[in-house]
Amino acid sequence: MPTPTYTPLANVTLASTTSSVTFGSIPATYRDLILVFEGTVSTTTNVLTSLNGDTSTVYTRVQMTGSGSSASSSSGTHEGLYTVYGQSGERVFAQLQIFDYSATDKHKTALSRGHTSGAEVAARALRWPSTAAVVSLAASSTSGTFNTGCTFSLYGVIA
Amino acid sequence: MTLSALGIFSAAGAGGAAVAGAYELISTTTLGTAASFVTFSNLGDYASTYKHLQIRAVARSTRASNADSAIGLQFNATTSGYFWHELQGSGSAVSSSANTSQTSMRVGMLTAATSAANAYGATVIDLLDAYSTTKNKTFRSLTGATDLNRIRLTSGSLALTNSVTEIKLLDLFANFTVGSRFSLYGIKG
Repeated sequence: MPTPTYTPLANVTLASTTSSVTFGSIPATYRDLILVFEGTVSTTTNVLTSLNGDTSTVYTRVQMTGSGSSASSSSGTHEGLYTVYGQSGERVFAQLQIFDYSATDKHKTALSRGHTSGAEVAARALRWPSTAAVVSLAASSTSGTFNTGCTFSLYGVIA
Repeated sequence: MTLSALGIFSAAGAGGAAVAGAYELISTTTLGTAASFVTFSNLGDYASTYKHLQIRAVARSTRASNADSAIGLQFNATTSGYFWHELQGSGSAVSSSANTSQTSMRVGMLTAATSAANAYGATVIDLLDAYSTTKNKTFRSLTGATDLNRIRLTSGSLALTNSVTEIKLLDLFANFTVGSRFSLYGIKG
């Protein structure tokens, strides 16, 4: 029997600037999590999503980006799942999908699609090398802040 | 800002994604034993319910002596005529390639025996207007694995106008490992 899903778990619209938004007490009810971010940032920054409070530099990334004039690819490690690159004065959008977030026999794999108007479009594969079930996540700006009006929407998808 | 009790906010307007009830789980297979393929059958039962289909997969391969394998997709047991284009980032460069007249459509990447333990490939596949009887079938996917240092966008088609009845996902080189997960969703339209 088909079951409706893609359930909204939380939706935040910033009434004031902040550098981090945390979603806690995430239930194990779902199989995948999807975080959608849209807004503007105060300065050039990386938006990272850390899991379970782990902000050590263990999250891996591979990405391909288009700048409007060229395409490139890079990889690296970060203090969270690399969600999107942001620039001041530009609209920034990202969809981050975290798979099997409650599994205790899998590292947490994620895919993201991001866009910063005037700067880039990007697709990324990401991994948190931990088998811990995800119970919280925090979207953070590595420089400056998220501006008022930014939205963060978290969804759960059953499987 | 910290939200510590998600349930409190579950009724808040979401916006920006599927309308409630428009996106539904049809079936999930999580492998208890390794298998070379996974099949979603009897999909014609949903012809009047859904417009598009989506598959979400977190999977790994038993392929020995290799870090990677690949997921192939076959539509309605068709074993020829798949065409696709890929755009891939390798961590150092972006490249594009095309394939024609293949036996399945390559839609996803898998980690394998020499990849890090517990590391999986993730894939999201969209089958657009899957129940149309007047359109060739079109597919797109986003797949990646940092352990393979690859991220890939794929789109492709099959010159077949039949409505979908079956989708088969194959490990193109070996078997999907125990724990590999494949979920099929229907999207109303």
